[in-house]
This record gives sequence, C-alpha cells and structure tokens, in this order.
Amino acid sequence: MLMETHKRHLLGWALFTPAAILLIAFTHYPTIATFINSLFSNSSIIRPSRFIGVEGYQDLFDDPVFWKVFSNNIWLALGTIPTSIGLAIIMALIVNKAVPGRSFLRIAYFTPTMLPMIAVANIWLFFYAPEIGMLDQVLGLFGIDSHNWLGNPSTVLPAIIVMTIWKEAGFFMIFYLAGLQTISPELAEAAELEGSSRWNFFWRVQYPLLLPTTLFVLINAFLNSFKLVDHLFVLTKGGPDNASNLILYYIYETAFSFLDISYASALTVFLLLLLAVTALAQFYFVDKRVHYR
Amino acid sequence: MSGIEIKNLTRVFGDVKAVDNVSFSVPEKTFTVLLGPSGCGKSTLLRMLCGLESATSGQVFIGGKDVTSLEAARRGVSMVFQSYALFPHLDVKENIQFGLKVRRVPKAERAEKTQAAAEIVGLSGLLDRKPANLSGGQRQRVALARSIVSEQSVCLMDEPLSNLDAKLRAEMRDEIRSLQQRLGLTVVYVTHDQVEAMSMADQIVLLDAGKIVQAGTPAELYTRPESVFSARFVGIPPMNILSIEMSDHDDFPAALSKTVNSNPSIGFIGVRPEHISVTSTGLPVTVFGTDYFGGETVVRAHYRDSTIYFRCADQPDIKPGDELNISWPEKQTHIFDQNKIRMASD
Repeated sequence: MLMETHKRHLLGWALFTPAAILLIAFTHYPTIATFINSLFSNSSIIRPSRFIGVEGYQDLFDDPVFWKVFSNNIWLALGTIPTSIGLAIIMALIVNKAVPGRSFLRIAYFTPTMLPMIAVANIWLFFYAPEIGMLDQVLGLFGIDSHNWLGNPSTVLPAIIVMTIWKEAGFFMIFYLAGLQTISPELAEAAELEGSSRWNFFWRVQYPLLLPTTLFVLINAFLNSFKLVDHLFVLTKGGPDNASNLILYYIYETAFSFLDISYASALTVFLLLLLAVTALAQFYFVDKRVHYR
Repeated sequence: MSGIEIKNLTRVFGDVKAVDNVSFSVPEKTFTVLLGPSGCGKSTLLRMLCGLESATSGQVFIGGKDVTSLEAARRGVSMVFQSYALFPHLDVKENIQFGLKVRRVPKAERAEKTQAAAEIVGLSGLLDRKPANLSGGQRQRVALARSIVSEQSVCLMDEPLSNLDAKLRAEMRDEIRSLQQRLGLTVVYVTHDQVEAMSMADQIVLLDAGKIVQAGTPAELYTRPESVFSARFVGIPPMNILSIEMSDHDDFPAALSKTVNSNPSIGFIGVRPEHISVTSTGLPVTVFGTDYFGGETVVRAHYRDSTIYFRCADQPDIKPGDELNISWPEKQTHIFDQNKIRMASD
C-alpha cells in the first residue's frame, strides 16, 4: 500500500520535473533575477554593486529617451491595431465566401505571418531604400522626388507601421475566419429571407458575433506591438535619433550596447508589469464579459 | 392569393438529380407536408421554393405569380429553420423584430406587432431573454413568432420539430397546426417523420430519390398506397409485404389465394398490422419478439424469410418461439405488381 503511494508520487514528480526545470530556468528565475538586478547598481572592477532600491525606476521617469520610445510604442499600437483589424475582417469576409481561388487567397493573406520578422524587414528594406527602392521607383514614374523613408524622423515610424500592418493583418484574419465559421449559415439565410442587405447583415449579426474575437485580437495585437522588435535590427536600429526606437529594442541597447544592466532590468520590470496587466485584462474580459451563453 | 404551384422543378448537383421533375400544387390556406427519407430532395425542394437555392429548370408560382427568378426576400414567404436560426446576441424581442427593422417599420408599429406575435405563441414574459436562456420549445416559438410577425401568408418549415423531445414535439405539432388554421397560413412543411405528416397535413407529398412517389391526403396515403415504398413509409409498424414468389399461396385467406393464382402479374401483397388476427388456420408464423405498449402489443414474427408485424389488443398470451397461424380479411389486402406498383384491381 505504502509502496503504491510512493510509486505514484515518484511518477508524479517524474512527469512534473522536465516542465518545471524549463519553466524555472527560463521564466521564473530570470524574472526574479531581473527584478533583483533592478534594485542594485552595476558592479565594476573598482566599484562593487550596492543596493539602490527604486532609484533605477526614478531614473526611468526622468529619462527623456524612455518617454520617447514609450510614446513610439503607443503610436505604433494606435497606428497598426485598428487598421490591421479592419483589414483582417475584410480579408476574412472575402475568403469566407466561395470565391474562385479561395485557398490560394487564404495562403496569400497568411504568408506574411509565416515569414520571420527579419525576412519581412529585408523585403521592406528593398521597398523603402532611397533612389533604388521600389517605392521611390514607382513614385518616380509620377515625378515625385526620392525620399529617405527610413532615414527621416518624420517618416520612419509611419514606414514601420505600414510594414507591421502588412505582417499582422493576415495573422488576425485567421482568428476572424475561425470566428466567421462558427456562425451558422442558417443565420445568413434567415436574414436573407427578411431582406437584410450584406452590409446590414454584417453590422447587425456578424460584427456583434465577432466581438469576442475582436477583443482577443485587440489584446494580442497590443501585446505584439510591444514584443515585435526584430525588424529594427535590420531596418533602423531605432534611429534616426530614436525616432523608430521601441521599448524592447531600447532595453536591448541599454543592456548590451551601454552595458547598464541595472537600468535595463528596471525597464524590463516595467515592460513585464505592463504586459502582465494587459494579459490579466484579457483573461477578465475574454472569459467573463463577452459571452452569449 | 397565396396558393403555390410547382411545375417540373428540377435541381441537379454535379451529376446527381436532387429534385427530379417535380410538380404539385398547394392550395391557399392549407398545410402540405413534404415527406421522405433523408436525401430524398425534400429540403432542396423547400429551399428552391423560398429562393435560397436556384432551380436548374422548372417554375415556382406563388399566388399565381412566377417567382422562379425572384430573390428570396421578395417572394413573400417566411421560413422556420431546423436549428431555428435565432441570432444568439439578440434578445427575443430583437429576434422577432429583426425583419421589421430591416424593412424600416416605424418603432411604435414594430413594438405593437412584436407584442402581438409574442402573445400568439405564448412568449410575452420572455421578451428580454437571450436565446441561450430559452428551452428548445421556447426557441421554436421565437422562430414561429418571427415568421408570424413578417405577415407573409406563405410559411415554410424545415424539420422544425426534430430538435425537440417527444412530448414537446407532440405539443408543438398541435400548436403549429392550430396556428396555421387560425392565421390562415399556407404552410409547406418538410419532415422525415411520418407521424408529423399524418397528424398535421392536409396533403402529403411523399418523395423518394428526388421524385414524387405519391401525393394525397394522409388517409389516401394510408389506405391506398400507390406503391410498396408508400405502403412501407407511412404507418408504424409499416405495412407487411409478402413476395408472391416466396410464399405458399395456400396459406393465404381462401379468396386471396384464388385471386393470386389466377393473376400471374401480381408480385407482392401487403396487409396492415392492425388487420391481422391469430386464427386456427392460415399463414404459419414463428414469433420472435413482442413489444408491449399498454393498450396494445405489437408481435414480431417470421414467415419464411419475411418479417411480419401484427397488433393485438392488451397483452395476449404470446411468447417468442410460439408457432401461430394468422389471417386477415381479404378486402384489407393491398395488391402490387412485379414492379411494386399498386394494381387497379379494386
């Protein structure tokens, strides 16, 4: 009897351990270590690390670059989310119908999402390059002068927003397509018999029924706008003058270019808190509020 | 004027004829049931009637007007779907008046009509509920109210009771039938359940493999089935069919065996379970099962390779394994030819 219990415990631990090791080593420990690092100053050969408490977080609020990259992030979110959601809904509506070449269209819309962000950035680098880039070539045909899209502080963020929309919209389309397919086709027929136009049906039936999808996508899009930075390595390195810099890239710079681990840790904790609050909001809203059943 | 006339209607999917040259008419203010096994084309036929499916050839007239190429909303029909097709995010009131809003009916009128329709189907107290918080029967009523409020004189129903339990189904059968008569609706109702067809219909159109097998009143279908298919589809348990080739004619009631012997074109004979009685001589059968229903018992027995069902009052002293002789009045015999078509002997 006792042996049985021991065996069961042993099996339980054996099953639990691999996942636990991975989680602890790569998630929990780094999170805690980062938090501790943010409370201590950087150590060097001549000055050992010392406890500085919330000084790092005070620096964060006084740092104009931080506010710059944070507002960049907000603009990026505002610029990409509504447009890519709108496009995603339109694309999903198109490929949900029995149009010729539907599976080809679905793949075409989804391709940007499957590409790694680095590859996407390389493609768009070719579009945006001054003089020789595709955009300038096309605009040149209409007699419009060449622009340094990525080199100009006023155009660099919009340029990145456009690219991000291109990358994200196809991803969100998948969720909307799944959402549309859960709507019974009989609803469309019932509405058709009542004389409801396509627009009326979308507005009165499909859109409200897609609300849970929209909320899910909204929060994921918001999280993504903070998490996606790979393209900055290829396109702009955050420049010019931090005009395209984003929080995650700024953390990377602070830690590995400026070697200020303490401040980078404080920035990281701030970002983690922001993302955690958003994720909690997602659980609360998606699971509790937007349900019809 | 809301009678329906269907002329030579055909619908082809790929190389399958789902509906094959079907013609019938539905008189105004009557209840017609399209009956048949699944895949017989009855739903496709209904969908062509309301315009959700286009016809390959043939015509549909509603109220004397050719509506074959008219879009669904302009044919003047309402429809109750099998799954009810309620909008899950709208409450009962909004569901009922969905169509009124589409047609921009003024608010006061909308409220009045919604209230009236809700009262007719007994939903007045539930107008603020979402469909998810309604029982199956209540959802069914919302679908009916939506159909009533549209004020179309033709109402199409696609297996509207198939998602309900047996007790509720019997209740709703009565209710739909009385609603149809009270409001003077022309109803076309699709079902595979012959009980629904028998109890509700003024006219039954029996379909098989896209073709009409027989059309007539429930009594006509029951008492004068045009073919073995009709005979076996209508009635529970189904009509007993014996192949002449596989039977010993001397076991039949005397007059019948004479008829059979004198007419070589007879292929099959049929007799309803309620007309069979246990007798001292007659067809020898071996009982293999009995189903006791209280007021009656259905006995299942074998005669050679055929299965025979017959009804007995109350609970007869019959057990599986018993060997009995059965007989029936000769005039209750249905006679079919080699192609399983009724013979015009009587």
